[in-house]
Amino acid sequence: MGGGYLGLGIFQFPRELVDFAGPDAGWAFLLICLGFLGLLMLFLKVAAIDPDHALGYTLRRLLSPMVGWPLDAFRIVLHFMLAVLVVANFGQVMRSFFLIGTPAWAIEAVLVATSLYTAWYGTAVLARTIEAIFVPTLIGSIAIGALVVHQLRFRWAILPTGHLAVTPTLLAAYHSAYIFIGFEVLAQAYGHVRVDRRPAARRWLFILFATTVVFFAFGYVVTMGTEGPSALATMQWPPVSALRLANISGFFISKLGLLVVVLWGLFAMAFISIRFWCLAHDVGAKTYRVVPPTRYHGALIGVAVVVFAGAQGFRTVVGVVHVFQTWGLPIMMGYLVGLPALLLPAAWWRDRRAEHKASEKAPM
Amino acid sequence: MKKGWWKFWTIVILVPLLAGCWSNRPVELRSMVLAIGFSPAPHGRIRVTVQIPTKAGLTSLTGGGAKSGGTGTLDYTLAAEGLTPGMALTRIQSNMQTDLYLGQVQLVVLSSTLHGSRLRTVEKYLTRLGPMDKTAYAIATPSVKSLMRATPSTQDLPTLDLIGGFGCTSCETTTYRQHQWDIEMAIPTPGDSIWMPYVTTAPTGFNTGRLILYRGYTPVWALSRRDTIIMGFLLGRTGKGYVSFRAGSNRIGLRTVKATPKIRAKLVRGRLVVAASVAMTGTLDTWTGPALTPRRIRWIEHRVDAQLSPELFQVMTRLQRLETDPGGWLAPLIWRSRPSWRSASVWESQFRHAQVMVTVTFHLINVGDSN
Repeated sequence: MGGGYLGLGIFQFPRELVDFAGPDAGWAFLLICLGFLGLLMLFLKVAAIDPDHALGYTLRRLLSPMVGWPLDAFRIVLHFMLAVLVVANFGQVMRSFFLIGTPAWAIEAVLVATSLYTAWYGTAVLARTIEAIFVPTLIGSIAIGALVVHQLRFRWAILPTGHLAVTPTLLAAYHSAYIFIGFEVLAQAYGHVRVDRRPAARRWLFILFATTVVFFAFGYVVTMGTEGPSALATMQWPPVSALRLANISGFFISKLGLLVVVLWGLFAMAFISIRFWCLAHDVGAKTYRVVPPTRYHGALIGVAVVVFAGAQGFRTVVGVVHVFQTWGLPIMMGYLVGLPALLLPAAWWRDRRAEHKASEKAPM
Repeated sequence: MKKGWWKFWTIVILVPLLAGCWSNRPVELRSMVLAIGFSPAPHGRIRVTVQIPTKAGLTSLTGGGAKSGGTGTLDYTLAAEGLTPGMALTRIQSNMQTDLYLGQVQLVVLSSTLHGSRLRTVEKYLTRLGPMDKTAYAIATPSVKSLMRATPSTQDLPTLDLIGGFGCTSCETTTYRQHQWDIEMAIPTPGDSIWMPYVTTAPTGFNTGRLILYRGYTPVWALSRRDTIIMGFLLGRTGKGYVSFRAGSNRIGLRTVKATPKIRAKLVRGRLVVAASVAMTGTLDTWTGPALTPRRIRWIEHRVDAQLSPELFQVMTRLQRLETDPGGWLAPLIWRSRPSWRSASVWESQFRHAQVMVTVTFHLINVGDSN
């Protein structure tokens, strides 16, 4: 589940948080975490409505085909948009810091191809691959971050102030919501978990959420402490710049911090492969959540080609951020709040009617 | 077996891409810049000077131990002018047959005569430069040309000889090294001013041990060695500070003086107050008075407090007059004063009229093997 969202915001966080909230950045972070914890619980309820059928089918059945079909198509567009933005952003990061002379399309092609390969063998292989890379990458990033802890020159900026400015804090929380966007794939993935393992899956969902909260909090401390609020707000990829300070003289990789760009490529890969998986299921599934292999592979290739082509539309990171902040964020937040707001009452109404009918039919 | 071939070829094709071989150049086709210097040139231009190791220099880098006396010169410098640093570097590149590589820059040399809009242009350029390693050291010098051509008596690569001292924090009187990163972070931070080592050349190599302070992008004070030590106390960066003075008919000398400053800026009834409390320790190495007793040690400690407090106060008040804040002492106050936190000029002018208080508390922690 963590793989579903870490790839989107990891390169930018906490730029918008600091830019909008200023000294209240810490409060804004707390607000995001609490807000997304609430959304996570709501999406778990959405996932539990009808885990045996595809989400698109549930939408059509509960909300009528007239509402369900456009909503399903809208979800597909959202998946595409997020995948395209992450691919384009990663291509720009790599080109700026690491592979200076390599064209972005080549880097993006490798990322798309690797993500495609990860998603190719289906749900179980995808889940196991992400499980295998997720924790070591998280630990590796924290270990590299620990190397720059002694350079926290701007420690005074880390803790929030006692007086809370409401509007800037809310704006900062909204503009930084990208750190957890992507978690909503759980509504689709939940049905693929074995019935007897679902309680454990729910437990792990919260454990992973808590882990990523700690991870982002650590990233916030390191980035804010090393760069200071004013410089941080002027950078495109503040955490990458901060971790590039990790330097061990004498070690065979002296610029160890640069490794972070590659490490976080795994997060980007996990994010995109999950999107591919979702899209292939959305495109391929009719009624049930399981998609026949031929249709799944065909859909995967089509999706990968479209995502790769879409990413070529962004020549610089400025365009990526602009499109996401102007269009992507309001649409995504609207979807994250809107979907449970539509589905949960509809499911409640369906259950109530079913109970009512059952009581009418029941012998007196 | 047949099924596995497509996997094999996919991996074969992907591996060179993943390794970043696309833009790879053999080392003999690369000119690795070790030091890059920026100085003013006529007509608003910027002169960029790069110092590049020769093959003999590169061998010495990898532990070959080649010295200039044996296998020829270890480095050469190239320079060009342009309205932007990038244009000047392009001119240098056009006169070279190898790829000018900035990924291994160890030292950024800024002319102390470069200020205002030109230093701003240079810093903006360096900040935007992705491949540049931000852990490169930054220094200021009155003459970039002389510094780049200096020949240290150690006969090492000049740049490495100079930055060798920065790398050894226990070797310096004041740990006054600054990375390019420190400069880039201080510039946009309201209430923080940039400072860096001020290095001049000598027949035997380099004269170090001095600092230069800036207000914005303008250098305002090149400190003397003595003031640099005092400044080191205020910044908490003194490694081997030395203090010597006469107390009555006796001479007191203290070595390995270290300071832990706590400097807070706060508003008291609408007026800015900067309170500096500096805890110091040191080793007695010169004492011409009678045998030491606990009471006499306390007397020495009080004399040190009385000697250093005015000196620290003097440096602080000069910083006020110059409106420069190398310790970033105002920055936390400005940050917490949002929404007015962006208007740094308001606070910086307040700093000029602030009330400054300095308290020094010195403790002798070693008197040597003598009474």
